[in-house]
Amino acid sequence: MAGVADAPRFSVITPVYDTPVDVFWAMIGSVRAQSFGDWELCLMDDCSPAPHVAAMLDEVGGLDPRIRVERRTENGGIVAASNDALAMADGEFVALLDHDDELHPDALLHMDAALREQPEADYAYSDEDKIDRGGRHSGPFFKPDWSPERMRTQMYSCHLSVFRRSLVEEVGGFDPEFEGSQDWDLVLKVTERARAVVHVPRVLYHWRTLETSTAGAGVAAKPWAFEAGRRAIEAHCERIGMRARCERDPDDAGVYHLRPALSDEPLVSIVIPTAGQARDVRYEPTVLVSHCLRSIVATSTYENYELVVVVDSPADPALLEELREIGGERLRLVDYERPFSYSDKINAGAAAARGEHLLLLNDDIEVATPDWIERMVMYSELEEIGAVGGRLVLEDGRLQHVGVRFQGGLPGHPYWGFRGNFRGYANGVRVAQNCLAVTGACLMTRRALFEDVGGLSDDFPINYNDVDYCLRLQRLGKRVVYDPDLAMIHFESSSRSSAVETWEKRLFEERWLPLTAVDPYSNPHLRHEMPRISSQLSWMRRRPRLRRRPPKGQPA
Amino acid sequence: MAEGADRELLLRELEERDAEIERLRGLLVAKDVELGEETGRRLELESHALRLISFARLGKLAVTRPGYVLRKLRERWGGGRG
Repeated sequence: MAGVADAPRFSVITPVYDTPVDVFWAMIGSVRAQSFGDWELCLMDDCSPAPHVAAMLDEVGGLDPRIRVERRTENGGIVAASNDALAMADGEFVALLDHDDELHPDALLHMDAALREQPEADYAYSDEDKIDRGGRHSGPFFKPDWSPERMRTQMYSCHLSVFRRSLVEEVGGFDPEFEGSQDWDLVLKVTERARAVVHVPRVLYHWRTLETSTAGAGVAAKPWAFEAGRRAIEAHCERIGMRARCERDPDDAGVYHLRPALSDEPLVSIVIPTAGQARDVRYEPTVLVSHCLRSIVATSTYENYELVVVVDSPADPALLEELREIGGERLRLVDYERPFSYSDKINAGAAAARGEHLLLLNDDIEVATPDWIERMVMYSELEEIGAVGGRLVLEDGRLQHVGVRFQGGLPGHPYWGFRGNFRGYANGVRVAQNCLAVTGACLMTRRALFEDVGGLSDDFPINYNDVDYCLRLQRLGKRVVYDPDLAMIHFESSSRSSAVETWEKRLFEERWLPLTAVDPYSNPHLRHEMPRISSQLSWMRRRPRLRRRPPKGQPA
Repeated sequence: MAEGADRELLLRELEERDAEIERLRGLLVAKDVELGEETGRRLELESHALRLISFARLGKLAVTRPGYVLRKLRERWGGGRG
């Protein structure tokens, strides 16, 4: 075994079990073809019954001194074999490679560069695609930068994953309790302690679609793995003190949902600025704020909340009477006498609020999720979370808000107007995830944080005040969360064009560029959250040419 | 007596009309959702169509000015795949 001084930079660990000949050699070839040479490949045979495996392993051991082969005396399953392979590793980092997959020739080179650029990184991952037995590539997955909230509802980092070995050992390696989702569990455990996580936005891993692999056969290949994933998420939530249970999506095995499991209910102040406008809602003349309050009172299962309604003064006495009737003792009315400023109105409401959490809500919202407040508190009470928002749909069911994304430095709503059941790229609409900002039409934040950053900026009296607020939270190191299971109806005019003024855009750019020039929760290969054509071209153009046939004398 | 009967009749008619209005309103709302579904689908298709148009433009450029396209691709992705 190599000493610490000659330890390689990367140990690629690969458990082997009855690997078909052609894909085994393709896997080996992809490692040997690495343009970065400081690696070792740790192959651990999990007592494969197929006779050709022993011959292949004998041969491969003599091909390259960097390839090390060991064999288990009895079959132990993926976790046992992975842990044994891990025990063979001497590298500073371990890279996980399945026995039937392939690495891009520059995979370790790019990983090394990214890890050198951020020396504190303890975990790194790249984009990936799928590859069939004939070597044809498909389905590139262009991922966001590190998004802890997404990781709790989708194993999105997956391949290629590179961990600092010392940290993997510190967390106890692969846990047999989560067999099948042991890699997800490991990512969760490692990232709970990691100083930094790096994403390399390049397709560095090719996941083989065989009939026996999850990439090819989906849930049917490993049904137990998805249940293990659910348990891994719940165990993770317990470790980090997140009061949540986890449920599997009934339609998509790769999607999970968190359900709040709060034991107590801190006071939430729902701050609703209003001018008392009316419009037709479902073909009925409706005073929006009354409708909003009614839906909150009728739908919410959360008990401990107050309604802080900031009304333009002088207000219609009949409206105030109606609000008192709906809100009862929960209602606090705040007169607003200054010229209109959404930010100032919210700040005035927040000043009158008593709750631990502030829930900023537009008066043209209808609540459609009974446990909406619980869901928001579940996230908002986490120290590292700054703001939480949900999925807003228009009156006709189409998507309005699924988290804010930045394009060219300015914020926008991806998938605006798409069907309500549109899944988004890589299930982007259906999984919880981090964004740089969420809309202030429905946003929860801790009051202490709101006060720390000075509330909403009056520099943006109408537009961008919510995004500006979220970005100031990001600057404090807080994350912003989009929760798809928190659905609301937003009676925003469906035909409304963007009313953002040029001066607002300029001021926003002045304040927030270059931070918003590249949205870390998107991907350089995506535009409006869809893969760019040029990315598809460059991805297709340079497929690696790897040896897919066994060496001479080796049976096919 | 007759006046009371008329009143009851009128009230019943009113209730029936209200129920009918409610039913029609429900139909309108359902129709809106149906139209929304169609509009949403159209927007999704438009988005795909725009991507295809970009693809076609890029294809044309690749034929007429291949050097330019390659240079642009290299600039954007540093020549690396993915």
